[in-house]
Amino acid sequence: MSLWRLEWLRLSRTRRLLALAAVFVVFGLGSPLLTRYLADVLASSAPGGIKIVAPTPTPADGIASYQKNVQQLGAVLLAFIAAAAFRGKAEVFLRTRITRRRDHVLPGLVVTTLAAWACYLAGLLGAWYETAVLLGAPGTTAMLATAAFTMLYLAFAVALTLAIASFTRTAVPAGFASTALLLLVLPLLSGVRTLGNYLPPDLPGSALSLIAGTSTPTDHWRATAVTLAATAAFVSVGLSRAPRTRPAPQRHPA
Amino acid sequence: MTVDAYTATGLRKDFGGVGVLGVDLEIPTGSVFGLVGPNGAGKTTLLSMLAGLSTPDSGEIGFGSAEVALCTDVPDFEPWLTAEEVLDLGIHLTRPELPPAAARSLRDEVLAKVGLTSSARRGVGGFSRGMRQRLGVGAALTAGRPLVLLDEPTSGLDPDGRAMMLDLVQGLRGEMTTVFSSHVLADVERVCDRIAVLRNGVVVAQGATADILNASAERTWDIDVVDEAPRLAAELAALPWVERAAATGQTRVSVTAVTPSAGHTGLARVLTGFRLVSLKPRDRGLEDVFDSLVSEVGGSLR
Repeated sequence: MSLWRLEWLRLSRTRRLLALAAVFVVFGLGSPLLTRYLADVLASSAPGGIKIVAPTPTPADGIASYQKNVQQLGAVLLAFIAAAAFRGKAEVFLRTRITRRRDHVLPGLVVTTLAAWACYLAGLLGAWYETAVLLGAPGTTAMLATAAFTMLYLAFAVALTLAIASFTRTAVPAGFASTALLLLVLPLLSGVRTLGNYLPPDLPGSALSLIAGTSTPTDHWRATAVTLAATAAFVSVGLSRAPRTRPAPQRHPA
Repeated sequence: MTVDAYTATGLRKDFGGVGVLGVDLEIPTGSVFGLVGPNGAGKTTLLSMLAGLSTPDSGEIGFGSAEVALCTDVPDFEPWLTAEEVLDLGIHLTRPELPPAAARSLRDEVLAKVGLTSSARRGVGGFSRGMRQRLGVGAALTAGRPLVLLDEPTSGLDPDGRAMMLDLVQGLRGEMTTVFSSHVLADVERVCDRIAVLRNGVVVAQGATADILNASAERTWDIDVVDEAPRLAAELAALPWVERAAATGQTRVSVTAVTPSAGHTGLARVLTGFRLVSLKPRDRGLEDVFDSLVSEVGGSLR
């Protein structure tokens, strides 16, 4: 059994993959539906005399709603799943058998990222289909750009968790710290006008403007560059802090 | 690499006065080497350095972690893996050159050796502590490394589990070099060829188990005489080479000499004035020896 298969079994046997897929697909199918009928639901439950006035939802609203859920609850779940992959129980067993730093890190990083991408794309396909049926078809180029940007954001989230987990002893603190950064710190910083265009949350958030046609993929180059650089930096932190067994023999100065 | 002994010299890992405070070890190849000491003596810290999991502050380890397989006191495995998969993973990581058929054969052989064949396809999460410890030893054996470090492998086991583990460790003699750490002295006495007694981070005695036992055993004798035990005890107690002498009833005296040779010479002289029935050196266990060793360096075992 290879370390790659170990990571696959970690996701499949612990049902983490199932949970991740279920969350993304439920969001994918539910978000456009909610967007389309939210005004009707509110109107039917509003007390008499109150009239609900809402703008007609657009295809961009349907996809953006899914993207927002991915960026929030999806990222939280992903952070904990990734932290569990980087801080497994068999730490000593692996540390005394693995000699290359990258073997400690890459299987968990790649398998978790691929799983996140697959689950996200499954949800996005569901959201695309429902949006097309209920709200009108979004543009294919904009959808492809949205998918690519969000996949980069998810890879960034996994890499961030890897870097944090390399400083913690167990998975739970790494999951919480990563969640705090993804859900609180980065969105707060993104609220600052001059910073927002440079930060990773701009990428999943770009769906609204891309599909509405008010921005093009090249308008998001700053956030893309920063996210790519940050992802690479976090991976290298994780790699540099990964344990390595010692060569023989060892002499330690007094 | 073939060596006569695995050595560590001047090994030190100081956690503010505790830890390992200068340890020399010489572990003959093929032996079962006991690392004995009370809780907190520094055994786990020492094993951790020998396995490459922590770096010594100073000292020299004459071998690399690539030669060592470590089994921690309660080995942790991913609970959703089966015993078979744990060993498969270990073999893949440490012996990737093995063809698949040979790897499977090694895995099955080790599972049988540690008595887990019938549980090979069960999830490790449902294993008892004893089963996990045996799996840990199995994982160490599949690594194909010449030096195996077993940290407290019998702790928390029931009598059957302990007996099985000790048989397993005994079976490793000659096959590989085994370091067996324990505070259960009866276990160490049963399986180890050589021992190092560790206390407060330093080795207070090191050598062949039999030599250490014999050296201490010869200092104490049980003497049976006709009716005059109290007089003999009083006479012995007044002599400078006697550490302790006490009568039990009218016929039995126990005497401990300051050195074995002083006892041999002195008793021969004293006993000429008494009607001797028997003179037997006391058979002491490692536990007694350990008590006296640790008390010599100050403080008691428990």
